[in-house]
Amino acid sequence: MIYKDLSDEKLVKLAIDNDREAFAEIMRRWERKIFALCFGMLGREDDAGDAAQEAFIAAYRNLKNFRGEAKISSWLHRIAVNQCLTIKRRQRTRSEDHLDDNSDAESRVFVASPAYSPGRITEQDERLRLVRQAVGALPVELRQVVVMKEFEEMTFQEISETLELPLSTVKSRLYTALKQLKMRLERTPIEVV
Amino acid sequence: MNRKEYTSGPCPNSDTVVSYLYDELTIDAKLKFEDHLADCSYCIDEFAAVSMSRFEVFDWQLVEFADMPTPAFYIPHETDRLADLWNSVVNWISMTKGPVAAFASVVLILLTGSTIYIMRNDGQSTASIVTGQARLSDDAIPTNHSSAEPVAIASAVSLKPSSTGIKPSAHHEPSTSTLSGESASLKRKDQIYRRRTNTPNVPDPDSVAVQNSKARSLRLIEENEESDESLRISDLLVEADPNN
Repeated sequence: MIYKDLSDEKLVKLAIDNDREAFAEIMRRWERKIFALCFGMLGREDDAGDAAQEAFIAAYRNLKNFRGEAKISSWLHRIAVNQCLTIKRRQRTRSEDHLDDNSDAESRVFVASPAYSPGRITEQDERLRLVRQAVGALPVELRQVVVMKEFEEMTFQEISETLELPLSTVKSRLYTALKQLKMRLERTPIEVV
Repeated sequence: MNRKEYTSGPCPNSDTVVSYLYDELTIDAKLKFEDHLADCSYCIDEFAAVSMSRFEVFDWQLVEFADMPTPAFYIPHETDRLADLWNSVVNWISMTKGPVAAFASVVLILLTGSTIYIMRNDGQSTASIVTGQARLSDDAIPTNHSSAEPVAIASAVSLKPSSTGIKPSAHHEPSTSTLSGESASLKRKDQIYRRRTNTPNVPDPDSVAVQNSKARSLRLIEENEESDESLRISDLLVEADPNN
């Protein structure tokens, strides 16, 4: 059976029937997005990896409770967010705010694992090409905010002062840019080898 | 799922979402957002969407730009003088646009060309083209000089050959004005000789006016040779007298 061609609903049904390959396909489809969500919440690669790992384990264990009322993506997002919040609460109780960690800059470096297969590397190249195109297609006023935030690591206040724009305008422009990027990236699905 | 009121309050706006994404919320605002996020599937999906986009850009930036070596930049502080001169001329022309710049450019080019031409023509001599030196040479020339002085003048000039075209010469050739003076003197002497030897002179020897004029001229010349100018004036008075 070719799992790659099956829909999310079919895969969930197969996974509920203890088809491990079906659940592996679900993981493969959503692992990057779940990891990105966790990274957005936690800001550290290792914490995000742990949260995503815990989220998939929790999803596998609670697969039978998935009623199919929501999309599988929303269900996985909720599980991942709950895992991230759990990790954050745990960090707070330990008074380990990651902002005070000097190794933060190093830990934020995310590169493809050496264990990645050649197919994954090709997929990554393709993804980078798409992101490059998507960012390049953004309007200038949106793109400059993305570049200043992601490439120059400026704060919203600094961007606001640099561009002489209200703070709320800078934030809304970045939000709009990220939403447009998501739409453009979803419009051109990545060919997986 | 639509946006709606939850137990944790209304859904936060986009400013709060991106501020949380980039960790720029205060601790209180962060806790409030997380409380809401645990309860609101709509906000979870919204946050997941912007997180994904942000992560893709972040990943792309890391892979394509983080390890990219910064190129070495070079600022050429020192250039050769010729290039500096040319650049300054070009800059000046570009700053003072219009006919003034064009005229100045033409003058500059002509000056440069003539200087090069003169230097090539005078290449064998060590002549200076400095105007001040040429003036010094000119100063050595007396304003009122007699015909006996040219050799000294020529030697003075030859000490400093200048760009004025005066060339050193062993033999001085008298000027045109000197020649005309000498020929006039010879002519007058010839007339005196002719008068004394009764040699017939040029036009109408029978004319009384001409004879009188010749006589006066002869007398004047003789008196002039004795350098007595007062007599010359009296002769003029005599000439004006109709009875004479």
